[in-house]
Amino acid sequence: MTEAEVRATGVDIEGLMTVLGDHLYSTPTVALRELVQNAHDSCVRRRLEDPAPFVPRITVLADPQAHTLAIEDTGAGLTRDEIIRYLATIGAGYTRKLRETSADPSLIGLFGLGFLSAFVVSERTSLFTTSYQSPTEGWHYQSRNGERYTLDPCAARPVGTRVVLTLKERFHALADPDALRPILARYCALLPLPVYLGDERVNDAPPPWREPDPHPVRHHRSCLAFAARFERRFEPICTVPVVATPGSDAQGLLWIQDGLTYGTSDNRNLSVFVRGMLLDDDARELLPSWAGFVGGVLESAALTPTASREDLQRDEAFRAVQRALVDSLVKGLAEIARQSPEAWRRVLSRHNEALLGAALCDDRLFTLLADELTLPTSEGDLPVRTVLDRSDRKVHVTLARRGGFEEMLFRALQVPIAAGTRYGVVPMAQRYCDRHGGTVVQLGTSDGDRQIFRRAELDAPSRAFLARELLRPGQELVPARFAPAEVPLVVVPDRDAELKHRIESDAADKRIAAGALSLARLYTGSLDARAAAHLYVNLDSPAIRALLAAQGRDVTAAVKLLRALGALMTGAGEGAGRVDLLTTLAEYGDTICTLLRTA
Amino acid sequence: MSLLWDWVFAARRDLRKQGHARLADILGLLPETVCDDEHTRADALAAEGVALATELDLPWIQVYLRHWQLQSRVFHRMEGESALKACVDLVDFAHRTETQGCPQAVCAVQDLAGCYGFVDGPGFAAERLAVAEEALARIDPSWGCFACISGEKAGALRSSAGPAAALAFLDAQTATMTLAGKRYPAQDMPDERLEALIELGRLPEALAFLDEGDRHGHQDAHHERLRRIDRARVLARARRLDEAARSLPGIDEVEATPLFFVPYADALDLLIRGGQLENTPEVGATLTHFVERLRAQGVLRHALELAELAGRLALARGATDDAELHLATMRDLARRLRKPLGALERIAGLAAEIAGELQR
Repeated sequence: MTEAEVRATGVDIEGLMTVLGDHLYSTPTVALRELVQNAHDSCVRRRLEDPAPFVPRITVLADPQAHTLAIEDTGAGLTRDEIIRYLATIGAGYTRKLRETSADPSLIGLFGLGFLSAFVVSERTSLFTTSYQSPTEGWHYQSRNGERYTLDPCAARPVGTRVVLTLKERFHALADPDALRPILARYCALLPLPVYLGDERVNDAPPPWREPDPHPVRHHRSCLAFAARFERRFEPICTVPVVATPGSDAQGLLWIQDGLTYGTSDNRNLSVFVRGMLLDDDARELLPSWAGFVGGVLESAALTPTASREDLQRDEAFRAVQRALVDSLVKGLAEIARQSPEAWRRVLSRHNEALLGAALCDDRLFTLLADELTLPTSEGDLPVRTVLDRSDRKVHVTLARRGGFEEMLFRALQVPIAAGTRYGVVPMAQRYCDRHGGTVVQLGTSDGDRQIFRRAELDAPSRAFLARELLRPGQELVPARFAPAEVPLVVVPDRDAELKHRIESDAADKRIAAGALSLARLYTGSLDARAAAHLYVNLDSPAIRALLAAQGRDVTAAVKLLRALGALMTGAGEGAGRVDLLTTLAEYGDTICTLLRTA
Repeated sequence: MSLLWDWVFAARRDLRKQGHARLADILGLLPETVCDDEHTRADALAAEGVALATELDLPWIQVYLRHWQLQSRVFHRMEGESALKACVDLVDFAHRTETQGCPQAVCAVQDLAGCYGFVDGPGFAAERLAVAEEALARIDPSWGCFACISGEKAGALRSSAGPAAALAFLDAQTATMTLAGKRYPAQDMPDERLEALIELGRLPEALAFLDEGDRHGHQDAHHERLRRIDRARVLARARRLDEAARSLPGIDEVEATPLFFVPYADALDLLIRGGQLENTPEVGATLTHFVERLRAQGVLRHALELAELAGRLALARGATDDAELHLATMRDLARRLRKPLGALERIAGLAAEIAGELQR
């Protein structure tokens, strides 16, 4: 048997550069960020290694005529050996080495891939550098695509590095200072070292949580101004601070957007800075899913970037920050409610439905919002407490877009019916009733019917009389009492009976497979449902009382009118309980004619 | 992509074109919220979506939305008897002329079988098996529900023929799905495989399966949490108790999803027996809450078995009164089971332990 061969894996540098260059980064502006970050780390390195004083500074110079972009720093610079070992070796950044020997938390680089981003946007990349270790030497690195490079000595420059990108044609816009300024301002907003675009400093205002203004009104204004700089789509209504806690080092600012939302609108946006550099400007998943109306900026050293440095790893630190943000938002909203009534009213009016959803996801928010939010009802938008007060401690909810008989009953009573088809209404009503007392009555269900129609006793002869005069085939007479007393009777289909009938009919054998049908029949077999519809006769109604008093006399006309009214009250609902409306209306017309003839 | 999701994408695109963007959004959002265990939001979305679909007379979309709400109620919130009516209603609706071609219609049957599985899994094992086999005969691995129904059949097999039979069936289904081009098909029906491996004591395989799940399984919040709970159970059985305790999520991550109650209680029990957790009254209160919630939802056998566990732990910390209450709960639940299948022996066992404790 021959021994296995040990061979090194071949690397296709050209292919690798294409993959990294074209696919590692999502947007060409990331190159700018990566090179500014390298410049930053170089300044940190010089501070750590070189005892001589220096002024750290990063300058970006854009030349739209020459289509060049230069990033210059006063950092440590590179020796010839360092250029070869670190700059020109993929995955071998000096920062990583430095991090192993220094505990300095401000170093940003991690993977040794950042310089590659230069080749994404440039057709030629030049680097001029002089190291603090050999201040009389200068080195000029140049490469077209990162695969091959030239390295020549050149005249020494002041200690530091200047990278010059000659931009590919499709990225010429990056050399436009007006386009560059807002991008640079976002990327570097939290970087403590000064960053300039030409002579103009782009990161001079520290974020409000780092140096809070002692005057509360001025602090409030500076928070709003900071939020407005980051929020691209909406004005911020108010802000919420994020402070570090024992479990999370995240600090920053959240804000409530001034844009109308619906229940599940998702306008979340969150910019995350790690060690001062913008890492992810779409880290919405750190915010709770119910916070579709919240924007924010956050900084944390605990969050770990992915290799592209554009996303965050979903690790325990990520989950800890998630929890901290939920806490900050909940506490912050409570604070706004307490301290800023005007802003709070705007928050409620803009985000009522989104907040309904939020309150259902977090008990603390429920406590805060339960009496502030409104439900859409047939009588307008009302808080649950008002609905309960107007409905004898009940919240009537309909899941139908058009109401059945209930709509007519409740309109007559001016009792609100909540639109259960709208986002969050049913669970909100249910939880409110669970907490504060009350009952949710879901209209159009057997339970709902039992809540509306209180069954009543009636002697057997009267029951038989009403059944004989009023019942149609398939109906069951139910003496009951219900409001309003002006309504004498209502026909309501029995939903259980309808289901039982459909599942147990022979036709079901043809459309449902045997095994599934036998399971379904296990359930319907347990249902005690005999009649297709219930005729609820209102014993509180003067008309019914008069009818009962008229037993033994000719009640034909009265019965026809009552039956017609019952049919109209039933409406055009589906199912076996539906009555023939045309026949009923004809009977109604005949009765009017008869009454007029005998008048 | 499967038949179902092809249809959903096309339906969402068409709805947007027709100006029904809200309904199109709900079609996408509802499964997401269910898979992330945000069930209150799922209820809110489903009610709104079904009303919109009814208004627009789109029965296939109604089937889809009602199924996903049941997915939340049954397979995440573990409703048993309390969801039976909705399940039967959907089976009826999904088998009408206007809905029979809907790719989600098959899933209505799975909802009903799963619901009975939670009412009394072993008691209804024969019926669940028949339903799953019938459904599998109608579909192939190109259907999204092939994996779900295979999982359902494996559950019925585990209830009736034992874990080895369930595992053998899952292996066969995995092979079929692999041939059909699925990657990591075992991760599409993970629950039953893991339970079977645990029951068979094949702990290294169970851990490897959880590792594979972390890399290639479903990455939604529900599966991610379930894997952490299951990892704790497997590690605790392997006497790696420190790691088990670290893996177990906090109770706040479990409360909204009663499907987690049974494995979570199992992990608590193992950690208490291993000396990693104290058997405190708070643990007792948590377990009582689990039992009562499942009992209220008509999840009879699981509630009975949890009551037994809670009763034993109550006895172990000297709370004899609590143990007696759990015993009474077990008796009530046993009366409602379809078939006793060992329930009476469990009751007798706990009763004897309580009697022994009282005599001491």
